[in-house]
Amino acid sequence: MRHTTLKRRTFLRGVGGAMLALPVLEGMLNTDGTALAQGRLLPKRFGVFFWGNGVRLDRWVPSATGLNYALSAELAPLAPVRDYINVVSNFKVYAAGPRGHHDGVSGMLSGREFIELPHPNSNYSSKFGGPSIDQMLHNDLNVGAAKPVLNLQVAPEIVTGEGPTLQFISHRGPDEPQTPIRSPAEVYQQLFGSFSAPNSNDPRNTLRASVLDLVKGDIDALKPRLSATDRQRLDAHLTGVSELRARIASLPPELIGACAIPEPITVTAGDLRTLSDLHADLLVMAFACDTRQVATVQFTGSVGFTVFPGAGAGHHDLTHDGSAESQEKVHQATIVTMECFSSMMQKLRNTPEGAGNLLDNSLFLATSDLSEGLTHSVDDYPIVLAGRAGGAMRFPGIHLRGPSLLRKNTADVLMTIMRAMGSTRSSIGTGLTASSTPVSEIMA
Amino acid sequence: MIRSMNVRLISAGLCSALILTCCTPSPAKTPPDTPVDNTPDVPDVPDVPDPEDPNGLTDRNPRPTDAFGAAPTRLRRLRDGQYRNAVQQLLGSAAAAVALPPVDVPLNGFLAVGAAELALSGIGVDSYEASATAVAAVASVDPSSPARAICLSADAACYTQIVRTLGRRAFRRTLSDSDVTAYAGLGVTAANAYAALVDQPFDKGLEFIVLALLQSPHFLYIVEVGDEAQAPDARSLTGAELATRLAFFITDGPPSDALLDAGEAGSLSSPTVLDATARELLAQPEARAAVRNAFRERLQLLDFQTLNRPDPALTPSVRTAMVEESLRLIDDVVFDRNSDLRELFSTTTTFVNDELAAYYGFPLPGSGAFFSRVQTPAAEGRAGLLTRGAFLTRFAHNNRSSPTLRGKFIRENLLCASVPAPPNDVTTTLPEQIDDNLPRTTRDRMAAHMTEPRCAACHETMDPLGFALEHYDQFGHYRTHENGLPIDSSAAVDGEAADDATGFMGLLKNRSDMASCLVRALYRHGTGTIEESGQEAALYDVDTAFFASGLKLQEAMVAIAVSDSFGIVSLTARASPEGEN
Repeated sequence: MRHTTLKRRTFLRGVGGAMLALPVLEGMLNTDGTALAQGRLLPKRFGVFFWGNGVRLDRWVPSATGLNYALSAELAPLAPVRDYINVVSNFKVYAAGPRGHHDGVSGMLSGREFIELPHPNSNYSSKFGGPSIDQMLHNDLNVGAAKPVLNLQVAPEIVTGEGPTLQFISHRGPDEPQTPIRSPAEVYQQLFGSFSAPNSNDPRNTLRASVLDLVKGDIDALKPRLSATDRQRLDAHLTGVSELRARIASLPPELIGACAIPEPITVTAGDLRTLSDLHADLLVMAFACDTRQVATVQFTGSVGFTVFPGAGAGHHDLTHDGSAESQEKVHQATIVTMECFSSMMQKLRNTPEGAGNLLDNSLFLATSDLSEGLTHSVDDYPIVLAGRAGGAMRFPGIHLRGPSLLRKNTADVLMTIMRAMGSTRSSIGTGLTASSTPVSEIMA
Repeated sequence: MIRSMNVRLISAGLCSALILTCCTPSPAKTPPDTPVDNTPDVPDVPDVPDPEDPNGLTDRNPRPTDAFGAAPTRLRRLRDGQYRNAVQQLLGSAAAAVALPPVDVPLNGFLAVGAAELALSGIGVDSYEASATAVAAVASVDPSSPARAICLSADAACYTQIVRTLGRRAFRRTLSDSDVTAYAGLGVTAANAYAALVDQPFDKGLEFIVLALLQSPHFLYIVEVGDEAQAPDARSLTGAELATRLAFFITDGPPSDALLDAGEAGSLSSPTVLDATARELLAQPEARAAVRNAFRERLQLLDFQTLNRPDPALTPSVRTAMVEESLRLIDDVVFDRNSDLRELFSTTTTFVNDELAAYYGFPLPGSGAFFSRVQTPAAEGRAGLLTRGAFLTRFAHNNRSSPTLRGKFIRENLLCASVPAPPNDVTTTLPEQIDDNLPRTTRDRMAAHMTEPRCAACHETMDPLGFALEHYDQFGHYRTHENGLPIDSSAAVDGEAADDATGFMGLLKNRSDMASCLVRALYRHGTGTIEESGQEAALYDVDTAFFASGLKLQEAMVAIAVSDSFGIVSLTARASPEGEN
């Protein structure tokens, strides 16, 4: 370990009291460039890229399988990173639930069926069945409080009227949906705005930490007087407090490798492509500087009414209009979506890390809330896995089409992600939507 | 029941030869922020009273026989407006102006229910800290801040005094000595840490006290544990808790010092005092703002500015005016005239400024930016809130009207029914579209839903209601034709038919289930809980009081405030399905 780090850490202890561990790369790389000098492997990063209302299956599913399949029209934007892509098709969300969108988003992202709220005299609402894949991984990999899951939002048209299942994609539990950030300025503040300056005599951050300790004391004292559900909610609040406290106590990342702290961003809104690109740039730096290891991108919302460029009508409406004209617009919307996803993956691939690049050490799940908007089906789910996950995923990637008679379970893909990322859990999800079997064909 | 519809039609006919301001005195000119001239216009023709039922409401179900059971209470995170009002009361306007709490998340259609059931998002903690930081920076130096009106010396004695006063307002209860010691100690620590760095270390001590108070769970949540000597499944709220619940319910803000005093002294345990207190709160200007906010949420107008409606004429200022029009209607009926709430479904009175009038194509009232009370053109047949621009634009698609969304709103939010999300594996294409390119109305397109049984089951509960509003497009404009075809606005709700919006609203407004749904909405909004069988009888009694008052919303609020369903809570969790974590 280098002396500068030691000195900074010592300094912080002196000024800040009980400061927490540093979220920085701790030293130089080994000669292979695959691991840090101390033998710890480069961190693997995971992300979810989500869009609403599915795809056009006739334009999505590649006609051939295996290694040298031709990309379909809707997957064509991924050509620049195709070696990094594994496409699986004919996998199904095995939810018994009867509700389009709700089934898909909860089943696909958590391996659990959604929970329908039991109030027949009020608006229909549902919650996620349990924690989503990003939160499970963050937990399993002990990423730590200083690097919480980074949740990003691109399109503003999010359906809020049917509960957290449709409104959010990242959940720590049924009652714990995680609000994403849409403003790049706010994302910047989250990622790079809160470090302790190493040589400052400003007591502010020390005092902020003291304030949070006082808040924690209030919460701890209050909890025993409340119902079990409220205690659980306050535990979630405490998790947020400890995350903020850990970030306040963190030093700025060391500028090794590709890590460079970007200039402050003041943009707060923008169109789909602009926001997606700004978020991608920030995401790349969050990964490169190791201030985050897990992220989600809600590109468009479940049931989203996003008006894509030139579409003239909301996306969800178009999916339910069977006319050729509207269905062509649905197709174009998927292409825009995949172009933005591809751009994000290319930025990762273009960022060197160790002997390779960030996409070598990342894994992204790109998927939706159902298969086809027109029919609300969840049978042949659109799923792309991008990135090598540190060599755990098959490379160059393939198109794997599952059997049509007894369709494979989308939770197998979640299980694949768990294995590829290094989680040791033996199964994921519950009931019909559970899995204990990864998809070995797409793993290295 | 149906007789009222005929009266409504007659009423519309009376005005049919006249336009716009025919029935009003000359428009009063008032600034947008103040109420307009409250002189009542020619009132709506009252419904012919039924001797058996003076309110003309449809028959009610019998009073539920379930025994009383307290509704579960949950920590309720302050909603956006409540948070801002609490900061305002605690630290003044300058501080409140920089408050920026995290977003609220609705559940079962209510932000209050989301605030009571969902946990704070991880990023929400950051938002609260950022907001508190901005607020504390202002409040600690603002000479007019109440926080600086107590004492100004950087020592334990002064900070103790500050914490006792501010802390009680912030936590809505008297602080324990250990609370006071902890927060005052933080002030001393901060002042000391900055002693060598700034000229006014006192300010820094105050700043960090405020920063901490505003992040405490006792500030961010409405905490209710009730009388801990009582069994957890049926506890009376403590006096301070009842004062707090009441103040947030009626004014969207925390209790005043005086109300908290009364609560802590036990005065509110007297129903008479409680009733009088509720009325006092209703007389405050904050109550108007709170009711406006409640309706803004119910009508889903919180994001009206950013709604994607591609009409260049629908400018930000027109959108603001549309929302204002609807909220003024509510203010007029509920407060200015304290009148029968059903007027909100029948009235031809509305409030426009010149810009909004021009947008609608009404004659300009000539009041510039000020809102004037006018009559809607009789030929347009507008009847109440649901025929005003804000609702019509909100419940539509960006390229067409939506009988489904409008009907769904009525079914869910006015009649308290749940409309399930659509099933899987249904081809939702409307079959007629594939055949040809003949022009069709939206109504014609929707009719295709009824031919597919799996669609029809749900759409039958929504579309026939929304058809009543087909004369109004997705921008709130009146139309006689769509795609060259005449509009058909005949509609039906649960077997009763009407020809147009006026007739339909006549059916709707006299349904006793709509009136009691409104009571339930107020209850859910005020308590953060969806009522269950244990509260039904108590709420039935609230309905009775509300109906007997002639459907005055203020009376419904008072009746809720004094109801056991409001003042007695359960600390045991509701039995609801939860996933394993």
